[in-house]
Amino acid sequence: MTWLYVRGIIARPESPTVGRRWFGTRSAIQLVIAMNDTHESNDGAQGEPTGNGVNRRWFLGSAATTAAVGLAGCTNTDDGGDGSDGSDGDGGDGTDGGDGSSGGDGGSSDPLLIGGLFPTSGPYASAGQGMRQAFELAVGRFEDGVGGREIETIVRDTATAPDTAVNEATSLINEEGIDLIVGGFSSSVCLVLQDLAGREEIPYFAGGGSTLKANGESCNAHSYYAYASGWQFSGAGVTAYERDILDSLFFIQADYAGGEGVYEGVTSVMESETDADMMGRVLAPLGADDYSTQISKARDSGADAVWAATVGADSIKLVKQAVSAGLTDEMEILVGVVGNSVGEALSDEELGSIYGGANFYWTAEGSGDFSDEFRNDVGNPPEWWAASAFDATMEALTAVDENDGSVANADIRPYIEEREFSWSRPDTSWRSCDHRAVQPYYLLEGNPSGSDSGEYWSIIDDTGGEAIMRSCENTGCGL
Amino acid sequence: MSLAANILEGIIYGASLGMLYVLVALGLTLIFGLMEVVNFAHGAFVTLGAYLGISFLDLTGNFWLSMVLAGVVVGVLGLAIERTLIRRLYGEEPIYQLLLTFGLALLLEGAVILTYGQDNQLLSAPALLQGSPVPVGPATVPQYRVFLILFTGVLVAGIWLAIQRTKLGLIVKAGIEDRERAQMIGVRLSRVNMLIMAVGAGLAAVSGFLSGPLLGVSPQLGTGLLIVSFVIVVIGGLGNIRGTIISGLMIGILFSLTSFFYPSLANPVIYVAMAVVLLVRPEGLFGGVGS
Repeated sequence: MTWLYVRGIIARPESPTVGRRWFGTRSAIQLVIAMNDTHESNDGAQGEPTGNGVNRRWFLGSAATTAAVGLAGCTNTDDGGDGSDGSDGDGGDGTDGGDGSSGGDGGSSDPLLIGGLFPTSGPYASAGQGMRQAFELAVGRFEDGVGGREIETIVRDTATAPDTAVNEATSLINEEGIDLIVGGFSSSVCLVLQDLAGREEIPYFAGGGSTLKANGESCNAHSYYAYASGWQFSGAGVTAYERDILDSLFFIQADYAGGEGVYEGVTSVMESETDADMMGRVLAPLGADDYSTQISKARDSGADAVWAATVGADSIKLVKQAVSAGLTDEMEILVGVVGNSVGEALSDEELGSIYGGANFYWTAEGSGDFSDEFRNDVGNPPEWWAASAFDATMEALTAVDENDGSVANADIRPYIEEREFSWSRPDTSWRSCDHRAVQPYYLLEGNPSGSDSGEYWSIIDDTGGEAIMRSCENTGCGL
Repeated sequence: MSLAANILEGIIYGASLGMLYVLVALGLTLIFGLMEVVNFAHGAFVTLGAYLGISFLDLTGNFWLSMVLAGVVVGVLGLAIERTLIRRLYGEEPIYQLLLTFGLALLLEGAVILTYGQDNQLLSAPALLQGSPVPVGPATVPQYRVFLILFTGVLVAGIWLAIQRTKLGLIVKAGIEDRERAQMIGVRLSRVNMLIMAVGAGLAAVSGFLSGPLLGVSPQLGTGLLIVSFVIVVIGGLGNIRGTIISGLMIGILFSLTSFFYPSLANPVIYVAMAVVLLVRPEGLFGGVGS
């Protein structure tokens, strides 16, 4: 009877409105809802299949999958920016430190085969592309080969995922027979690559991971980091103190392992090198969309400056929200790691309100040749990750060249450990106790008028040397 | 600042964030409720809206016009996608929809990257809303956040009223309640589907554009908002519009307050809340389908 009634309604259309022509009559629709209320079928709510079989359970499954993918993405996000995540990479156990006397085909006349591992897809594809371009620039400087050997390269994509990176590297070693590895972006990726390099006894020159673990308990003799660790970010704080920009410091720290290392390093160095007061810290969830409570706590801290131990997109969000909340009217903000990728996402007002730290900036004295070459080739100024990939590649190839084509770590290691270099950064040297570069760390000031020239930051000054590094005795490395 | 002021700030700031989530989640829940499609491309609409808005802003110099244009263009794109692609899969196995919408998401995100690059883009609040923060009781709130709450509040209220008080809304509710039965009595859901897809995509685009001054604009913008929106839709009840609005606000405020007291738990607490709701009220806090 009900359905007959329904049919009756449909058979008696009301006035020919556009709505009815398109969709049907109001009373018919109301009836559907009324019927549903009366004969509650609970289709979606109880997980019963509806129509094509899409139901609540299906939606929940999809949502869970999305969340899992998203959380994985967040984890990668954590790695990015300064690459100082450090997460849970299995690293090494110290046993593979040794002197790396084996491995490689020292003195061979075969082509030198280099494996380049960069995140050319995924959330850090931009960084990966820059690293790859810098890698190719460096290789291009050795047109005549190294130590009598031609150079061949194979580049693989890590997607900023440790498992992908280790699979690709293993394939390069076992199937392609590469002689050395360059690259890796994010601490977790670098840690697994250096562990693999140690086990396979192949030299590894890292491209972008600032974790302390790499040169601490997970270090090995085959791995080399040609750029600053998270501890060295403190150089920007020391300079800011010396320039009377800050006397006291409050931390807004991204809640991840690398952030902890930065906090530990900056507070330790500031306490030993300055009289600045450390006024505490507040953690911020990684990838957070909202920093209001952190901004409130910073405001209440009594400090005259905030250190933002955040990276990439998180730094952008934090600065935008802090400036919008008027925090920069009350205190200075120093973002631990910046570059053009952060600067170009900030307005003139936001940029003009903050300071930043960097282990490389393209306008720095000593970066000229590399920066000019990169700009001519790529069109944009290089970021720090490109500079790190460039330095890593240059050091690797120089070492092979100077050792008559040998890639044996027994030859490369003593040579590297004595070296000073200035490929993209001035006054850099290797520290033999942990294979980390000793180099200046810059304090930058936002440059609101520089967006046209790509000079989003102006260099104020730098602080470098071992004073801003963890002492060899405290690294736990034991090389 | 007193604890009370901090809590008040957390609530207000969380509400502003929550309203952005609501805009995204509303489209998601309407599309699922009516079309039974889990639209993984919804996050790409968010991203696309932000980037197109920036382009329109460059062209017109007008924030508001750019927001509208971004919403309209992405809405039309959503409509076209529904007409040309998604409609072919109605009644098919859900896995095909998943593959299609996931593929669309990758395609749209790739198009954004090809066009604009991987780098973060600048999108600032309009000059009108860049002044000093305004006092709200013992708290101070940036003008843009106040605007977000008011503007999105009006927008969401408009959608709510449209669904409650208009014939079209009635049709949407009927379709959500029982798609097959509605079709059996002559309701032409295919056209409603088209409209809802357009509205959902347009809302996502507006949300993306409005998020820019707060969150920055990157190719990953939409992915982050989509994940939280899934949680909101589940907590509010699938296809439940009222539930989506309330749970969106709740999630925003919950995140903000947890971030103040226990920052390490701020991200997980959202998923814990979803798990608890699923255990206690599997149909969502506000029931299953409905208003």
